[in-house]
Amino acid sequence: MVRYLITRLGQALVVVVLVTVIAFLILHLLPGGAARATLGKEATLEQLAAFNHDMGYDRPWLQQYGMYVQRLLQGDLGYSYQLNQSVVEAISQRLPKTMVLSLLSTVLAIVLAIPLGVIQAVRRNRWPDYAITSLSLLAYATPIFFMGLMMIILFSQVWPILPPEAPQGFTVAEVLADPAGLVLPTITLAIVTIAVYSRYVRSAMVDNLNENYVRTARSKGLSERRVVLRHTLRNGLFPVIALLGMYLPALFSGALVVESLFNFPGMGQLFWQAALKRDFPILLGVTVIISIATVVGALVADLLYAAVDPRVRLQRSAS
Amino acid sequence: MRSRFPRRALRGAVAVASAVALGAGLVACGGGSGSSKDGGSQGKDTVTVAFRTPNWILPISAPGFTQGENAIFGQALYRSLYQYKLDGTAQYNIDPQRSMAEAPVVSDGGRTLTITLKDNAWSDGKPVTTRDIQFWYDLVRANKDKWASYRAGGLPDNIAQWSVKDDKTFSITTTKVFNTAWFVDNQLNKITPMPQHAWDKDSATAAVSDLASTPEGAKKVFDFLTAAAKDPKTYDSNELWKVNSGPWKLAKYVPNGEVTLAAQPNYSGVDKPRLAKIVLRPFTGDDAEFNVLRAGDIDYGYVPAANLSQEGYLKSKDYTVSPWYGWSVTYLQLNFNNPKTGVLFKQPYLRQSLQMLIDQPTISKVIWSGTAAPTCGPVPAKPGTNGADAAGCAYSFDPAKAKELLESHGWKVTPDGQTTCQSPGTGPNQCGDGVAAGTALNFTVTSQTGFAATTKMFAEIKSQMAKLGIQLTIKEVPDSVAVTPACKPADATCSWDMSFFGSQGSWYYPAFASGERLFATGAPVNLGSYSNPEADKLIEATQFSGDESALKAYNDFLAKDLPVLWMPNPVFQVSAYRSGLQGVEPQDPMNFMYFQDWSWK
Repeated sequence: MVRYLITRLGQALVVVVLVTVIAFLILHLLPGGAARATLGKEATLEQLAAFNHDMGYDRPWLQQYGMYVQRLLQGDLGYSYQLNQSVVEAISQRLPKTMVLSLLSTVLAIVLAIPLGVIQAVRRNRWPDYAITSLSLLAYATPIFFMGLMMIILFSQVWPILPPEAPQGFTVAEVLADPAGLVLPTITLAIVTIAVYSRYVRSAMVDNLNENYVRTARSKGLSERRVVLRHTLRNGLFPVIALLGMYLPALFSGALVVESLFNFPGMGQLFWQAALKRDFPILLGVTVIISIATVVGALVADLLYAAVDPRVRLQRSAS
Repeated sequence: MRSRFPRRALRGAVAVASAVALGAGLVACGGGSGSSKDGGSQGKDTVTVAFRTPNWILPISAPGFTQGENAIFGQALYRSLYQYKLDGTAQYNIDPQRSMAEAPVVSDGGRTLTITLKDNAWSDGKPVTTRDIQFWYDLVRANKDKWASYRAGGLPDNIAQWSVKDDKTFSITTTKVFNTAWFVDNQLNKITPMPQHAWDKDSATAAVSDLASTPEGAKKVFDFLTAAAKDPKTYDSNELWKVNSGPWKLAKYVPNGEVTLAAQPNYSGVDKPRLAKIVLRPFTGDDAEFNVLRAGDIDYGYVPAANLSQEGYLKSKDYTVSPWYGWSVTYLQLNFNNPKTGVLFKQPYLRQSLQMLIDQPTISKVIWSGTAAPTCGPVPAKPGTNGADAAGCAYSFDPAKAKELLESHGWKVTPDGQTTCQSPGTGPNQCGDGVAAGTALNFTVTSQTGFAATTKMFAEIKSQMAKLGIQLTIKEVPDSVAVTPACKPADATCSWDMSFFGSQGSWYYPAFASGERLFATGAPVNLGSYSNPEADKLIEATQFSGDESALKAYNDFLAKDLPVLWMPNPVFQVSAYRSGLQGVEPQDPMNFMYFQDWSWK
């Protein structure tokens, strides 16, 4: 297990380095410079040159990359002129907000999707299954932007019981202190996830309910409730575990549309605005964070899989 | 097969799902409307304004921090020596009420301006004196390369002598005789008194001294103040920023978040704040802002162009919807240095033909829903109105005349095809110097993403031009300025043909609308590298001649010479504010916001 972990961490490191190299190259291939985008059309050539010099953009890209990695190893992700903030500050300001929203919506999605998936499986091809499937497909097919807008119109304007914007604080405590503000963005973000997760749980449960071990359990006289909840559900959750692992990057990268719609400046907005304004330090900083989250997420998913599925453990031991 | 899963368990699962949904709803109802409590319904002493978070506090702006929100925020805390109004009632456009000094007295044949300060005090009770202005000057002179407003030959280079007579009076002697109106409006507008008694030091713990009076010391002080300005998270706690001259003080500042201004109780100006608090709330985008505006959670916001059709709804919700006209012009930049198409743009008849294919009145009325007006030349129309009357433009929309002009210069016009040069040469009926036979009129416009009206406008222009066989390719990018820099023909970045960055106006002027930064040869914002000795002469006259007709002569010449193609000039924004909020109008054409004038009915 330790050897496996070391190998995977080594692979992860290679992936992260490659991602930073590719991101660095792409940013430097973009037409137009960061200087003009940052300083605006009024900047003089001297000011543009001074900016490029200060930021190191007038050096060969390999040298720039070397300097970037050197600073990165010291925990310095650079300085954003656009925000007048260090990248670390900018990220640490938004990350808690993004994580609160993502975690709440994920928990809500799981708590709702698992029972819905189970209901669909045990009542498959009957009206509860049809109803939930139809609603899931509707939720899945509706653009999240439209969904959010409908939520705002219905619950903030037609029946003004909820605020149209998310909490405006920046610390976790400030965000949680305004639970009403969290309701609409959380539900909007969760709805699509519920639809996806419940479909996965349903199909995994349906497959498992036809397995021999279920038949054996039933023939041993176990109650249907015990068969479903103790034996089948555990196996039915494998796909959700895999999805959750891959969801880790989303926890860090934010949800651009929901953030934009509900005035919730999180990681998604940070990255989007940086892309529009060619804020290279922010783009690189967020890319590094998300690439780390992605490889860690994949690793966590594998480890969780191994923890719940003995077959996976056996395969790894054999290999 | 009928499932044997017990109904009780099923009901349990349903209950879990319902409980979570219900819980969320209960939290919602129980928690109340978090953002609403800070919004317009919060009371009559506060106004919540949709406003981008300012991120620069030092009155000497650094490159990259000259955005409008920083200027408004800066004025709220630190008043400029002079503030301006464009209603034509005041000498040199100086606003006598808001300015910290009397209008300058001119002597020495126009070279010396003597300025007398009014009685003003800092928020800590100390008087504002000439020492505070000298402090600003010392810092700017020693650090001009780091000052966003610095232009070679401008302030402070154009000052030969700076003399302080006493605490109230100082004089400036310039290197040449400038047009006083230009100098007062476009140079003295940069001066902001700074509290020398609190800021003249090089560290937080150092004692205040006369450090900035030497160039070396001024560099140290400037670095110290700049470092503090680059630490926004301390804006509301740093002692430096607690000494203000403006009507407001900073009560709360969240970097990239909400900013709260509180009325400055020790404000010495005559325009005292009438509200206790101004909350500046940033939004992630137009949609978020408009949703909150519709829900009535802010007192002052804007109507995004895409939502102008909802004006009626906002009015029904007791909002006043009012266009904010800027002191601005809008244009399509032409790249005269493009190695391929530059030679075409250098032909005056071709520029005239292109201009005559832009139907400014119709585009303004239909596409911009009446919130834009034609631009006819480099000097904006009367401030506070929706701009020029197209009838006054040198080249009005006239496709027939445009066609005739092309044909009379040796072009074979192929409607809906490809117009080409048939008669190369420099004669009066030929295509012009450097235009080869068979040259086609194909141009790419680099425009802005995110503005529906801009997209529609270029679709209309493209269609009109196609009718004369001129092919336009529209390329939208997030920041057109960044990819269309001023360039030399050999530069790799010089391949752009036309650039548009005027979805909210291309250029906003200071009080005196001269063109030395836009259309003079080699000017910093002359992105298309337009160069005409006659234009340079006229621009110089606006700066150096006291002749009041100089600005008109400059405008008339460039209106005809077309250094750019004049385009419909959109309003700065369409504002929406609660009908009970007074003092918002008139909205300043130079884009300042004077919150101190605002009050509730």
